[in-house]
Amino acid sequence: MNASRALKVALPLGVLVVLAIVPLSATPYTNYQLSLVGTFAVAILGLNIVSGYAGQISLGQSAFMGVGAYAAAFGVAHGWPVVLSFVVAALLPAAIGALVAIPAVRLRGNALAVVTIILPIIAVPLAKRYAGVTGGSEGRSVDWAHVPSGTGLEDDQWRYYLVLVVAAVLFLLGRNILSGRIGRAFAIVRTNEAVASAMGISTHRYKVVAFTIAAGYGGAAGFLYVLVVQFASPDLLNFQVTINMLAALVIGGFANLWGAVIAGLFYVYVPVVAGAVDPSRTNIFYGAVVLVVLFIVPGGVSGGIVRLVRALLARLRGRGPASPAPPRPRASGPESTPPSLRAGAGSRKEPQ
Amino acid sequence: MLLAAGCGRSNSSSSSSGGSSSDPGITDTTLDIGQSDPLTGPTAAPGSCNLAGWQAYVGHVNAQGGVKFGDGKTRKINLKGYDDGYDPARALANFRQIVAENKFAEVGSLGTPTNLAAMPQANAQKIPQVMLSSGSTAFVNQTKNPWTTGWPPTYLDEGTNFGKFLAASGKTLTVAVLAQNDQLGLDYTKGLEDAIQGSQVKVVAKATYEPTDATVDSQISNLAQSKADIFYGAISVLKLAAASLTKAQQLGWKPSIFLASLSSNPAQVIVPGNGTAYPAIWSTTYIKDWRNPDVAKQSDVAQFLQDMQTYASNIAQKDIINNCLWGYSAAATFVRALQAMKSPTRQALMDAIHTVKANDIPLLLPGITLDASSKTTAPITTLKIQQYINGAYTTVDTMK
Repeated sequence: MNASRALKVALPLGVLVVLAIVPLSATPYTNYQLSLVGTFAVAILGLNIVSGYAGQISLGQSAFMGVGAYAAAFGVAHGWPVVLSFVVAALLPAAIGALVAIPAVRLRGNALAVVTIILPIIAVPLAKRYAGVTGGSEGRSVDWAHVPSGTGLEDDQWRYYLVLVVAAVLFLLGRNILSGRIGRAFAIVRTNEAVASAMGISTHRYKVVAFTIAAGYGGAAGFLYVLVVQFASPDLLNFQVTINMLAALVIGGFANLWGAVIAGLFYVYVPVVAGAVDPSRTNIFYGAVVLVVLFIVPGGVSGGIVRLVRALLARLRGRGPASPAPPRPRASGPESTPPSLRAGAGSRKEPQ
Repeated sequence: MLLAAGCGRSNSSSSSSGGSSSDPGITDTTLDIGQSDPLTGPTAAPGSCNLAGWQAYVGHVNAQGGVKFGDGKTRKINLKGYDDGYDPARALANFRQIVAENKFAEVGSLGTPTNLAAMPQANAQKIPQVMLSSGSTAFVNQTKNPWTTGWPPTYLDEGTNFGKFLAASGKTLTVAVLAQNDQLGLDYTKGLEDAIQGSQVKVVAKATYEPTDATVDSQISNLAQSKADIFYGAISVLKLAAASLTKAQQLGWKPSIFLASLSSNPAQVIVPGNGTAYPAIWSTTYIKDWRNPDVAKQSDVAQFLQDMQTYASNIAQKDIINNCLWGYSAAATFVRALQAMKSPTRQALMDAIHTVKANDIPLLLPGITLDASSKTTAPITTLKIQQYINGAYTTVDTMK
């Protein structure tokens, strides 16, 4: 396992170094896109925690992200300290998530999914009505997070680094949560609630915890969104945004930290590529890509990469050519879930 | 180390236009411009048509050798379209892409929230964001946002013009308003209410809807109870405008109808909504109705239809909606500005735009004058009331 372990340390480090260097020579447009990738990766990580790890389909993530974005924009407009804006942007959606989850998680499966749809559906008209807070249908535009003088950086680079740092911290936090007691409990709740109850794990409580964490991540992503886009509008709350995030997560891979990163890349870049192919047919292209990826790697891209890496490592260790893939190819990135619980984590939970 | 390297970015394309001899995106023979529209999603029809109208006019101009600019050089225009799906974040991404790809300006983009998202960046970086296809009053404030200009009359202008039309009839009329729950709906409603103040015309019922709503049946049912004489539809979603016409007659409520210019297209709204059931259907307009066979023979309209077929063949003639004509006409206005542009800089473009005054822009109705010199209103502010009679619109001066 040495090669594999070395890879697990080297890969994130290497990625981090590359991520730190890229913006220095990239155009502001590329930096903007990469910052958006980081932003949506955080939002989708939240979705992954509740849907991928804890197995509860949530269709309300865009609402939490939107609330976080509005909180950040409101804070900026009223001259709050940045840290306070961030805390409010993350905690307010988390509180809303907990409040909604407490009654909602008594429902299961599709019924729960339908209840969570309500969030974006009521959030959009609310945001338009309370124009004093949200700026109404035209949204709230802000001008902040300029680079401190003397750093030699430009705004887009500065914002990129802020997103990178916040996202890295949140991913590390997520990894620790998911590899610890809570993560194990999520896995058991996901795979078999009866077993969870028998083991003394309150499924109700852990579902609420999962929703709360997911909403908090959504809110933090909303803060990052306002940092990058400098604009919050009701269109961010839209249900469509959640669906796109969920589709991206299916592509990236459920119950895998890297799955959220790949999903972020997918969310931001596929529409751009599709637009380059034919700007008036981006949705068809998007749908086709989703289908093709699911056909080739049903567990999502991250699952496919893990499988590929394992196959390569196995070959390097000389287990012989063409040795079959390990019996449980759908692995999760952090060594969180016990092997017995990993099976089918991804392909089982495609939406609709 | 990283910081030092940061200083070294010399190929940055975010540099603003200074007094340099020539800004990015313009050479002695070409001008590169970009446009962001919703080309997919629920707003795809207006977005695609807007882009098609621009492509048709630009294609026509290029085929004639290009535009002779105010500096004496003749340049061809390269227009590139980007899809934003009506998503502000993507619209802003498109704006940045337009800048990164060294386009000279963003022109004619359609949509209110999308253009609003890009506006602060455009003005901070001093990149022209001009001839926007939105009736929002947010884009006509040149003092606050000198690098942004609108083009069509604002929704407020439209509501005002129709309100005056009602008030001038001298009749006692009641109006039921269905408005989109955003600034568009507010502007339409405010324009109407301001114009009928003190007249015999009263608004007796109001309801709102969300652009994402699947139906407006319950709103129409509520409004129908008012038995108002006029139904005022400040609606931008075509299928909902059609659905309101269908629903009202189902309920036996047959008022005279006002349709916002955004949703006044016969093929998408009046025909599917069986508009003939109503005593009258009005809308406001400043653009020629190409569906009227007599109008279609006029030289500018015939040229438009031919250019659409040649340069924007992705839109079939039956799918042409007003956005195609507005796009074409806005592109013609933009070309007028280019002809007045004294030097190849972005500042010169903005200066040139404010000099455009014309009453011969293609497709504009006779009597509609375009004047882009005002810094507080859109280039077009006057509108005519048109009535839908026997399958085509006819402009009317007074209510019969």
